[in-house]
Amino acid sequence: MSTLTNLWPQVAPLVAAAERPSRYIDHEWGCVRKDDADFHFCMIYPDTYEIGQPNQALRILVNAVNARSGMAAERGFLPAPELCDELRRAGLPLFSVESCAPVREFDVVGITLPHELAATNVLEALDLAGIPLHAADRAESDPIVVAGGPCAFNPEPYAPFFDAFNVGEGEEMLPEGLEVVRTMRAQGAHRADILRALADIDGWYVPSLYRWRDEDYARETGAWIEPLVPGIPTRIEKRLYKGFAASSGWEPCIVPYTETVHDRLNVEVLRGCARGCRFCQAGMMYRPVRERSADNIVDAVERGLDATGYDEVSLTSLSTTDHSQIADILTRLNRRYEGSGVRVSIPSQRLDSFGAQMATLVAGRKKGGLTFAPEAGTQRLRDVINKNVTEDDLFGAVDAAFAAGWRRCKLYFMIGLPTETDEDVRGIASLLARTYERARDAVAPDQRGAVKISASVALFVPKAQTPFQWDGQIPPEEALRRVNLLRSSVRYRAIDIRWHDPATSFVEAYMSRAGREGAALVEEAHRRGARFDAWTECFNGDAWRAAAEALGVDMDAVAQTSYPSDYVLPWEHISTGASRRWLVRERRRAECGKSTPDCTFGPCSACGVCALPLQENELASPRVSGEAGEDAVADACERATDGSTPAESASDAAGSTDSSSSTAPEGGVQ
Amino acid sequence: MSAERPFAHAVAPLSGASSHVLADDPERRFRLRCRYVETGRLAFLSHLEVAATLERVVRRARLPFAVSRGFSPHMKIAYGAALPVGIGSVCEIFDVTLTDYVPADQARAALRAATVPDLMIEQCAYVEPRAKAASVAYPFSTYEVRLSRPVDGLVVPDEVRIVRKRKERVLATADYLRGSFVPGPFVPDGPLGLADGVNGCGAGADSPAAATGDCAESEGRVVAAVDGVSAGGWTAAAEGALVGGRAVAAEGALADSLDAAADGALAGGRDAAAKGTLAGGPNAVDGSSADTASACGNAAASAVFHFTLEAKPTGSLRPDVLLRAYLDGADDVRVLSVTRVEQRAEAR
Repeated sequence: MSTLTNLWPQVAPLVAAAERPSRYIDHEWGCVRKDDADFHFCMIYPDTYEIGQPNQALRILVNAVNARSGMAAERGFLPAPELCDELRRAGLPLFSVESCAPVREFDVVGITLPHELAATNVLEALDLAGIPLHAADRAESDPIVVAGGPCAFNPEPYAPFFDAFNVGEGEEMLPEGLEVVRTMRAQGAHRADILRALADIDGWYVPSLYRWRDEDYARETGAWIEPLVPGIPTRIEKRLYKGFAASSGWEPCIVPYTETVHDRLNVEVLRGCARGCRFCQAGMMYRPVRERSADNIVDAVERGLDATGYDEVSLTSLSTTDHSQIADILTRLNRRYEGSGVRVSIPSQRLDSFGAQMATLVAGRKKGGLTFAPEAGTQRLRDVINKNVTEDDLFGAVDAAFAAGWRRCKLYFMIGLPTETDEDVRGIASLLARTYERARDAVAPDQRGAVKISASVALFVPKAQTPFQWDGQIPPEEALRRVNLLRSSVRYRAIDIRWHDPATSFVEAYMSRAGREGAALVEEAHRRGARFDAWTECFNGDAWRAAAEALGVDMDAVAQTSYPSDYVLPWEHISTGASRRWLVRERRRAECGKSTPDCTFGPCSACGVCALPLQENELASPRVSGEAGEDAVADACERATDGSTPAESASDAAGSTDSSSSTAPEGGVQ
Repeated sequence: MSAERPFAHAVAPLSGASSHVLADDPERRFRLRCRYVETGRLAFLSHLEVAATLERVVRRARLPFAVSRGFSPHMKIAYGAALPVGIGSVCEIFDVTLTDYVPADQARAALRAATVPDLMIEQCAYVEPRAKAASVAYPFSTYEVRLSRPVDGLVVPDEVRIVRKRKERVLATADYLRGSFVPGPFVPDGPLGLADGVNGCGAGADSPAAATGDCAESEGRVVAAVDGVSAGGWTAAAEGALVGGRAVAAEGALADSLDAAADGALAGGRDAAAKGTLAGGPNAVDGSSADTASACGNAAASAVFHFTLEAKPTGSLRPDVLLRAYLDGADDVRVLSVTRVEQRAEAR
């Protein structure tokens, strides 16, 4: 039986001197220790505790592995940058949370790849752990290092650093793979043989078993990779957790001491989104749509709040207000928790009056901000990106929200979308102005001064596995020109424009589209000091540029080139289930400004995800849109009050004006 | 007809108490004062982190807590004087207002089942609703310090320079330090805990019969006059804490060098500490008469010593800041632990 070294006595003095030491002390409510385990897995989020601890993947996968007998899963995070340096100075390695054990002592180390800007942190974690950065350099005694998460859908720029990738949902695929490693290690199998066996499991991709070829090879065969051994798949289909809808929404979780980015109970109400926004990777990756039932969700909230003691619950998903039973769910939760100080929140609002109504259901007296995501300023461009909302939808939402008491509203936009012209950029300003006017007119004259509209402008990043994957990003200078055009077109002081630094979006675009050769650049950038790139104050654009120059890498070409749709991209061997043909068709429809309906509300668009057995949308009830949806709300509200006692009805009536819950202004994008 | 209690759906009363009352009826409010420890690694929690955690403990314990009726409703809970990050304690306090009477021992059991061993609730007793706030009721705090080795020849500084928000201030130690540094571990007068000096029903806090019987009859007007709080005769009975059926990291904080002292203060550690006193020399005089700095220095020629600081309404001197000033220059000495061992309403 392997035992892990406890580093706490050495680490403690450094922790004592660190900022917010509670991030490093373990002992939280709900954390699991399995001292009898003979197999140890460490799940790392490549950022600090307060950012990584609330991550759903970490929570789900640690639970899934701990559910297996004899296997123990622990958490790992990067310490804050200063503590990383202190540890290096003291000659101490990256440690796990639960056992405070060196990460390199674990049998398997999993690192989630949550976004493109975490790449250098992956190397920071491996380096601090004392694990060889390259899988090829790892010894038999080193852990097998596995990655998963959104960026595993273009794994190539990370490929040399990992022994294997998990493509898709890890609930079943990860424990299955760990069982293989455990069994084979117990038999004394060699690392290479274990990796070969992992390649046979659905969803597992072992990059070292494939040679990275060139554009010509890709044009001929349809993929950049060439298998080096017989019998391994040439195309890795994402794994889907088919039991999601039926599984309990209560996923046991750890209650941190320190304040984290999502300091509340999260209940995942549905997975997937079929709205089909053509820039959105999540919308492609998590198909099909699977809803948990209202009963399941209400039960999960109740059990979760009881078990954790949280006073806030967020109903999370890509599009919570699209849940077919959302009105029923919110009405029941409101009734259940009124007066208890418990807040219910939904991460973002559907862009129509239904969305605003749902927000009102959970908001109560304390109305913070509402978040909507029209993404583009003109109807033409919204049709191009398949954001199936009209100005009337937006204005309906704004009218309803401001009449219901909101005074602030935040709108998300993107600039640099394919086909965007200056007209579209000025269209954002015009839309903002008209939104402000609608909002102003919806409130009493003496409150008009309080009306504020803010717009957050992001630069379009072409994401792998989307219809816009072939479209290049505009250069950072051009992005700034368009932002300035937008700013100078805004007429009202009550409208506030914020934008992201285009330099970081540029690195995102590079990482999103690079092939296996991109890994060398990540390594060089990290060597030159890039880490914590997602932190505005830490982003080191100079390190990236210097690295690109030193290696002779043309980052501009990777980020900014637009390709014809027959161009074979570096991630062509990884599949979300959405077919190439469908992606090409969606791109073509975008060029013609034709939208495609959401298949959970309308007809199937034949994306290909449901072609596989047992793989299709699972809705708790039929979805209805628009006015029909609003009727459904009214119905649900009526049903909710019908069967109640007079006292409860009274409290319901009070609830509409005097409820105690509030909507947290989370930064969700619809 | 009484209206539906707003929280009734959220909490099941622990006792047989089934009265339906208005949440904001001040006559039906029960103020439960709880003593808890902050030991082991949890000495690293900040005051805000402890506050947020205790609120969750109360929710998990499903006590019938009162909720404020303001714009932003929240639990009626109040905390004792803040403990600096890194300093442990065996005598921390919070008050939670309940809308139903729950026998103190039942409340204690529920709270203990809802927390981790290093943040264990040790005692519960009802206090008069108008009693002084927990944060100001006990201005005298005694801290026990354990060093990696005995030190000699150090002098308690007359002044301590502090910088807060870039403003420098100089505090006169004598304004805050009561008595001086006393060698050896802190020994309370007797079994002094929350229940000590408690009048009326509060005395029954630990005896279920008294609590349930008398207190219910007196309409919950439970009176407790608490002189001071310390670990007293209590031992850290952490073993009773089971966490929601899931294994909790109860791994020996004792094994951790940094934690050992904090735990020692609770359990058998007193013997070990006494040895420290011997090592420090025979001049183990009580510092109350030794007011000069040099006398303090001699008295504290020990690896274990304690001192008492008074918190003033205008501000206070942090024990860790005083200690740092005291140890300035003795670079090879490590502070193993600082533990708040007693909080008192009056100076001794």
